[in-house]
Amino acid sequence: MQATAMKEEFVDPVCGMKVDPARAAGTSEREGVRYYFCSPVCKQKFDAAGPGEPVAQASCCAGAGEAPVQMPATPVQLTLTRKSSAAPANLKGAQHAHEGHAHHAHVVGRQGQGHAASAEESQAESYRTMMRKFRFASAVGVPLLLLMFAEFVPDWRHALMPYHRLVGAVSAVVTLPVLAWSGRQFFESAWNGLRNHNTNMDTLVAFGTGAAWVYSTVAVVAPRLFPAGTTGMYFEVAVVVVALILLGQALELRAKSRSSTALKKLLELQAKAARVIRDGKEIDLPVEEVVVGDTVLVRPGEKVPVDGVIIDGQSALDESIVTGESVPVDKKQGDGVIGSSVNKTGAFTFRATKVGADTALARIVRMVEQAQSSKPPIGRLVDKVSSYFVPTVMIVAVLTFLAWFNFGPEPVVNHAVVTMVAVLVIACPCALGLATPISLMVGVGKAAEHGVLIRNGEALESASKLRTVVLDKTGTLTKGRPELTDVLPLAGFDEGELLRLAAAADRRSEHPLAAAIVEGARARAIEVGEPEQFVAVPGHGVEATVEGKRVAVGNWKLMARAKVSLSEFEELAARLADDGKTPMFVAVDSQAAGIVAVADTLKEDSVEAVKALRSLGIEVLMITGDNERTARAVARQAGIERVLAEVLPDEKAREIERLQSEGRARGGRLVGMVGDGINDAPALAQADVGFAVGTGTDVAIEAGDVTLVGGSLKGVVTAVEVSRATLGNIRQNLFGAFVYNVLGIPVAAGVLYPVLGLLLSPIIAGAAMAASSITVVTNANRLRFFEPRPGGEVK
Amino acid sequence: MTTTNIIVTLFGFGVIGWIVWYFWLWQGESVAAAGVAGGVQVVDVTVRGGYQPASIVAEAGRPLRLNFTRREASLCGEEVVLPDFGRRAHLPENQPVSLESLPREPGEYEFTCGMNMYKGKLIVR
Repeated sequence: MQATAMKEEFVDPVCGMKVDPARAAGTSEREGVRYYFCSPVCKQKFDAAGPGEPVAQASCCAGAGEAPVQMPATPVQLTLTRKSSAAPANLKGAQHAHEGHAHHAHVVGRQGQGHAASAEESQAESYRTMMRKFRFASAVGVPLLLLMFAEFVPDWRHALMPYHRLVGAVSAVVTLPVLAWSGRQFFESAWNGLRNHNTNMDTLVAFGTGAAWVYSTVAVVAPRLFPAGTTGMYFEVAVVVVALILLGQALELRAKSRSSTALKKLLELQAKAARVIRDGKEIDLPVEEVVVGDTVLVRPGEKVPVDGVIIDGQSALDESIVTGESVPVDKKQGDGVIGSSVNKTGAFTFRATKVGADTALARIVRMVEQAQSSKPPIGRLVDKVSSYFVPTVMIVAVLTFLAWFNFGPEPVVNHAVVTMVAVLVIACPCALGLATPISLMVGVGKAAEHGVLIRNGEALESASKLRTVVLDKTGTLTKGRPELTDVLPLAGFDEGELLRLAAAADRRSEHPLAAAIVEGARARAIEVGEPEQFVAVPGHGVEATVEGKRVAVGNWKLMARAKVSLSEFEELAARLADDGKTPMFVAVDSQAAGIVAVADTLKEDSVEAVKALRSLGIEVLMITGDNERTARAVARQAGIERVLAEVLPDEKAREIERLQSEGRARGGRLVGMVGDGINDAPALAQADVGFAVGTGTDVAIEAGDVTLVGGSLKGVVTAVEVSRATLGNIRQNLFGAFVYNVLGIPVAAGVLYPVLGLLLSPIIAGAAMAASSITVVTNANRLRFFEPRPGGEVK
Repeated sequence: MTTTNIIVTLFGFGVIGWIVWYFWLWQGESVAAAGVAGGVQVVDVTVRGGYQPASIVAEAGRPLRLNFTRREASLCGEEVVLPDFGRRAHLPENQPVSLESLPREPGEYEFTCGMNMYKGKLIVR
């Protein structure tokens, strides 16, 4: 058993390394359990922590228990197992421990990748095999199908008559390999399912095709056993069903094989190396070897390796990776920095406070993982149906047998057996099996035509049930970069002059707000000149000499520094802030000259999309890390009433979860989330349907279920409309398929026999099956004419 | 009605009763989790047309490890989900995959395949 195989391996409860007890650097006993350690440092830390303290537990087996336990490492869990906190004072010991950690991380990483690669490979292989099986089945099925149609033409039917048994015998021989090879998985799965008291789609396929083949073969071999008019053959039905269902499964598999590597990608975004100052010397270390308490140096353009607090220096940091906010944040001594954010302007040193598995980025990885794994599974409609359908058909078949046996004409046994099998044959899931995959194929294709990529059938099914959609603000609802919105000169200046001076002063600045002003000026056909002198004041703005005038452009602090009277600005600034805009004050020769305002504006079609969603009966919410005032302003412009503002990045997923439980309480109302940033990834994974804006990060795209290629929110409207249309279509198909079954089964059972003397004649059975399939395919094709409403035309 | 008719009819209804019981009423036997060193409860679960065992009894408050092995080519059981514990895993064919959790509260928890077709029950006492 498993347990014996694992007996010899133990895991260091501190660092998570596998330890061979024979080579352990130390052992310790607690509560009757013996623990083995990779290094003396780990043992020391373990002994230092009291029983039940999280230090030991969190690193060795996340989420597994209160007390430290011995557990073999599993690749799934230990991707980020580096526990921080060895004291840098004990440098030698710490380094030893880190060699161990680095080694461990390496091994685990490799295992993880190997696992992903082999999963991808095996899926690709399964797809190829399925397609080969499909081609074989259709190579046999299509000629037989044509032959069957030929029988509908009376003249041809007559011509074929003498060869009827020969054709049947040949058909029986050529179709057997199709069932045995192409259809093998259905029979295996049905058998395994039956042994486990389960019936599913596969049971239905196996039952139907198997019954059809056996019935037809017996009709060929011993036609005399059959009552007159019932020696029909259904070989083509068996193989065509196998072929079509294989095709559907293969297509589904291909869609699925774009499996998620989001987590891997997220980790690749981490800085690889860190420059650490130890014993007064700068040393370059792999990021895994940075410990809490290390002093880390970051220069402009570099990534911050781990989380920490600035000790010295100041800079603007692009934290968009974690917060989603595109505008760099000014940081100075004492401010916290986030690992993987990009240092834009100045050099600084910081003290590492969180490393390895504790950093903000690592937490996001864990949250995505957690959210994906806690998504409730969605049973497919057709599988649910078949779990009732198969046993019901079996019961009807038995009842049919009993009725004929007790009340039927002689020979009773023959009649009873034939009608019983006929019931199973006509229940063959031709249309039932096709109902879902065909509509899905058409629906997903239709959505793709409109720039909406839906990952799988489940996402489509969920999208049709959305009643709440949460929109991320930055980059989703808005363009995600600041733009010049207002130019408000005070007396003595005109708009053009104010903007010309401000833009020229800002020209050399690398700050995105400055860039927005320069770009805005150019867009208004203003020539932006070169400043003669230029000083960027970090955290304040810029001062420059332009056209011989001293021009200052910046925030309140800059104005205060330049001793510019602010009284004239106050009212204007408050109004702009109310509109969610960032006012930049302009002073010329120490006189207040006006305000240029910059804001992250709405995408052109956001308002229409919100309106269209609401007209579909969907409640629209906005979520953002921004302050309430800015958030309200943007929401008002977009026409959104409910706003979740000041939500920290790692709380977004929790907000979604809260809305989901709120939705469940109100009767299964599903919640969708639309976002673009890495910080949105956990929320996208958590939501019932995650819509990733195609212009956003790869990680968000892979965490989402639906990708909006163009980046327009109208894609959400299209996705909902297409999915509703498709689901409606599937329901019609299932209904249609059922009608045929409900009509066909009684005929097969012989209900018409007392009145018309009619048993399951091949013509009726064949026509019913063909008609039901044609109906389903035709109905699914109706979806091709589906056109989403243009978002603007909302009544 | 002859004796044969009566016997066959009764037999037929027996078959119907059996179908109803077998597919709709059947509840699997429970298997108790075995303990290993370190206080971890372990159960090996085979995935093949369903979960064997489909019903697992475990003790509350002790870490539980479920070793899933998918022994079929069919993709149905490819994913296993423990919704209440927020655990989901991909099961490659014939490769054991361990899922660990700490059941704290006594009660009945479900584990299912990715599409909610295979169902298993975890009874925590």
